[in-house]
Amino acid sequence: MKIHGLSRRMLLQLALAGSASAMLPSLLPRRARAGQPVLPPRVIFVYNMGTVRELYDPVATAGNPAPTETDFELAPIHDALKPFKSDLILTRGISMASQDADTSAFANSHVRGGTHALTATNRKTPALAGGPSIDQLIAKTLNAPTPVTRYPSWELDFLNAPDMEGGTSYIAAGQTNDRLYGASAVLGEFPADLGQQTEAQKKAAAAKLARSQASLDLALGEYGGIKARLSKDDRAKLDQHAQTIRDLRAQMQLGTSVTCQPPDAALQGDIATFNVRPGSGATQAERGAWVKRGWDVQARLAVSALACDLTRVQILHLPGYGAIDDVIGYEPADYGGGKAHTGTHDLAHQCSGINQYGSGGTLWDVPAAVDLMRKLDTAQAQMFAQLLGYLKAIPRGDGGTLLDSTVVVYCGQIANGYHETDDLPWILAGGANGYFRTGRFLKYPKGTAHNDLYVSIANAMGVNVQTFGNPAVCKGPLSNLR
Amino acid sequence: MRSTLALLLPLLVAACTGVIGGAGEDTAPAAGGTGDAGAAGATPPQTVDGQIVVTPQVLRLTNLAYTNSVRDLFPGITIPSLTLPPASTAVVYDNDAIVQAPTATLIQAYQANASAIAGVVLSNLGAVLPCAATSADDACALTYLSDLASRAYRHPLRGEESARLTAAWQTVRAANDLPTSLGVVLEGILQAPAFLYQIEEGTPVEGKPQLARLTGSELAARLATFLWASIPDAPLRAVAVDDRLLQPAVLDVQARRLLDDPRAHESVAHMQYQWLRFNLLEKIKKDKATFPTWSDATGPAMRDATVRFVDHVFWEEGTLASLFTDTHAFVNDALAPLYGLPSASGSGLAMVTTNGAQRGGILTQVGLLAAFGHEQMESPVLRGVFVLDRILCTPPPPPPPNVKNTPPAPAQGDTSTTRQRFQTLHELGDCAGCHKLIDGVGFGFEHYDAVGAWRDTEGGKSVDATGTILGTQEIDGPFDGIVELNTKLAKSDRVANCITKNWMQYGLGIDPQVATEELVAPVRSGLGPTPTFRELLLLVVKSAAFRYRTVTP
Repeated sequence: MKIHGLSRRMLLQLALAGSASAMLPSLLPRRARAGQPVLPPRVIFVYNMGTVRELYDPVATAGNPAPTETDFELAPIHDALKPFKSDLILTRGISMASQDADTSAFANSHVRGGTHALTATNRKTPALAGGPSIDQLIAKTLNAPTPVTRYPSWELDFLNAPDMEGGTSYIAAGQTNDRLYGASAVLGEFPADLGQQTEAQKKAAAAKLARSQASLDLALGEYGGIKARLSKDDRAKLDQHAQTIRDLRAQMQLGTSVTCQPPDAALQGDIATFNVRPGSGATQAERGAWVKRGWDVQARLAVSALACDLTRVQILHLPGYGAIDDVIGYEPADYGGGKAHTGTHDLAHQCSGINQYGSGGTLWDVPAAVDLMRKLDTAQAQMFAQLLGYLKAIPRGDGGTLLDSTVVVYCGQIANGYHETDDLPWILAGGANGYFRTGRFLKYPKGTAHNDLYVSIANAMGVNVQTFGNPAVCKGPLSNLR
Repeated sequence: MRSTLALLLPLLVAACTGVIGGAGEDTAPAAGGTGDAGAAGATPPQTVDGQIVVTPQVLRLTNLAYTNSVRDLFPGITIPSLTLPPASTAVVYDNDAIVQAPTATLIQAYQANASAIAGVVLSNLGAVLPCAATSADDACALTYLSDLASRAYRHPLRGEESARLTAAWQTVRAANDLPTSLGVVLEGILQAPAFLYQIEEGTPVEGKPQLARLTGSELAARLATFLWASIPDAPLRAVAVDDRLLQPAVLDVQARRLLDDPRAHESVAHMQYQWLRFNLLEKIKKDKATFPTWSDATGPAMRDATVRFVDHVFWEEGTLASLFTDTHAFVNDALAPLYGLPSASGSGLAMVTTNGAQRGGILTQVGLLAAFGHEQMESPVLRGVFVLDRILCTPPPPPPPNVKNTPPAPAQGDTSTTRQRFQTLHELGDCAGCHKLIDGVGFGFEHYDAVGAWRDTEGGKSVDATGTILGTQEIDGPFDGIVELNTKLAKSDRVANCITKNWMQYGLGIDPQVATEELVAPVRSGLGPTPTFRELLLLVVKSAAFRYRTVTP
């Protein structure tokens, strides 16, 4: 049996994890015992460039005037999520209050949301965020004082290289985290020493580890020996470099104890296929298939890494405007009367509902345009569902699945075509080991700070903070999630 | 006068929407200028001979400098391909310390690279050891490693560094054979801060307690990093170790020697690639239905041809003005027709002379024109912003959040020109203010379509490529087409200032806020009546900002 690149043996090992800890030491928290979660929680942020928030709204069930917290149907664009309805928390009202409070200059409208999406604090420069992002806060805390996973976090992308824009994930103010671009690069992050090894292989790996650690010790000695007077920022940066070396040194040790399997031949074959990028003569269908394959292998690699406990914190970039065009077979359209669109980015700009000034997009009253927008959102929802499916296919050993131990956070940088950053349709999927009460639609007052949501997510991950990002707008954990 | 002129355009740009504090771009620096906003004016800047001295943050080797340094550390050995995470594009230059984050991915890559490098060096010990590899002993190995560390760290080993190296060697050697031990210590050297970072202390300056003069080795490191993106070679180390390099005449000789070396081309190209946004040439996409001759090979050829052009301008033509007036281009079979030239050179690029009435300089290279355009139509906005941002150093503020900023494509049956559609769109609402500035330049490009080909008509209508440049108080006024605009730019002080500013940013590893008018002006004023790039780089090297630093409290 093969499920998205995970072998039968690995699945079996995962299923037995609760009773066979000797087989999977790294998959079990050191404090695991009766009554404790089988797996430590994981978090994935699925990052979408933009949304049209109205299309995400759940609808009322038959005979009822409006959707309620527990009585609702998913929006038409979310048909693919129906199998996961009980795993979801859909929201409205949560806003980037930190962006509203940020009076600094910005480079362009997407940067406004992009710099605040995961950091929720004032920008450092027009294009760079001013503090660590929530994924990095969680990753850093989980892996302190010593690392518990081979990698603190992953940020995976295969399309959206930002140009002159700050990144999404920040390890500190102004300091963007590195993305892993492309499936082959991600595949290369799976340690070569995964899986069963012969005694000779184990011996060679141990010797290599000892050599690598000795070289890192030499480097660390040099960091400790820096005598030059440095500014506070420079000293912090070099200290951080040294700490990351110490972490790497410890992570190497973890690598030898992981017994899960690397991605199998089927996934590696799909990656090889994905690596052949369509040329300019390719049809739109061929380009669309390539994008879908890219997301598919990215999601499978991400889930494999979570299952192997290589990392517990991830960001996955969802194909957005431009790339998604080919997936849905987009064609420009002219509806007459000056109402037309030339691309999905253009479509989204014009096909948004009522903005803060009370006006709607120029195509909001054109059914064909709105249907096309729904088609785009549906394609993205299908990709989101695909990821959830992969997580749910992995048994946890106690009747639950990897999805039950994970919280997947659907987020983005803007709410609609007006570049608004309030009232974004955040979605949570998975309960993070029962921390979140799923299967609900929660309406918060517009302006509710997304800082609060991130405090809750951090808490769910075992990171006990009471504030995150700009403290002036953060009120602590978000109510009614548990 | 020059300073006043330089400040006027940013003010105008800032005022075009009233949204952005664009005037801050060239405002006075914080003391020392670390790039952190907020401390401006707290204390007066430190100066030497009237020139401002800044405090660059500790710079990490760029990916290019890392790769080149490894190459030069192990001459004669073929180094395997090294993988490093791509640099942030949130800033103009990759040596801007503000974005140089020590991420887990980066540190892991340094470790993996060091391991791979050690592997190939151990296979070629005969090429590096000062003794026969077959008879190498501890003394020979340690001699080699000490020399390697000295070259990698870009200074003679200090006593404590030498002691740590010896101790590390003895510890590793106690548990390993000699080649293995060599590999381990070599890996450690390649991950040490003195190799990966440019850490400077300087020496005190009499009577100026807040200033430090770089040591010979520190200055040599800056020089080699700037001009070669690599480590100092033996002749440079020789004049650095005893501080002879601090003598202006010796510094001049060495700077000229480095510039004459082929290795300088790579660093210059790296700077120009970033300054002129050539990363956009990596992903040019065009609609094949609109441009049937476009193929997968056209974009890469455009990129290579544009890189070759600026290389030619810098090294062969030489003058700043030639960046706007040189009529050469590099073409192959795919590109020649776009210049209106017969195809003759196959797929390889060959230098040709273009029609001087239609072409001149970087702004009419088909690669740049195609990169600043959309798939089906050209973009006066992107082209105009490029000139304002990278040529005049006055980037306009971003559009307000609530505007539709997608290009106005022609509707069915619409026979309007690109210019007409953009004009109609930009006359609306609050757009007019900024777009008067942006489109005033951008409409001047209307003779070039989305792939950079010349056209006299669009949709049967005569092309209107008249434009107006505003706010410079120097070259303001109307022009017709880019060749006329080029004439203005080629003689502009504002442009020369901008070029100087960019080279100082790159040379010092500082961000635009630190590269103030006050910092740039003394270097700019040293240029002769027909300034050349080579002259400019030598002035940067000789500037106080390059030779001194402020003291960290």
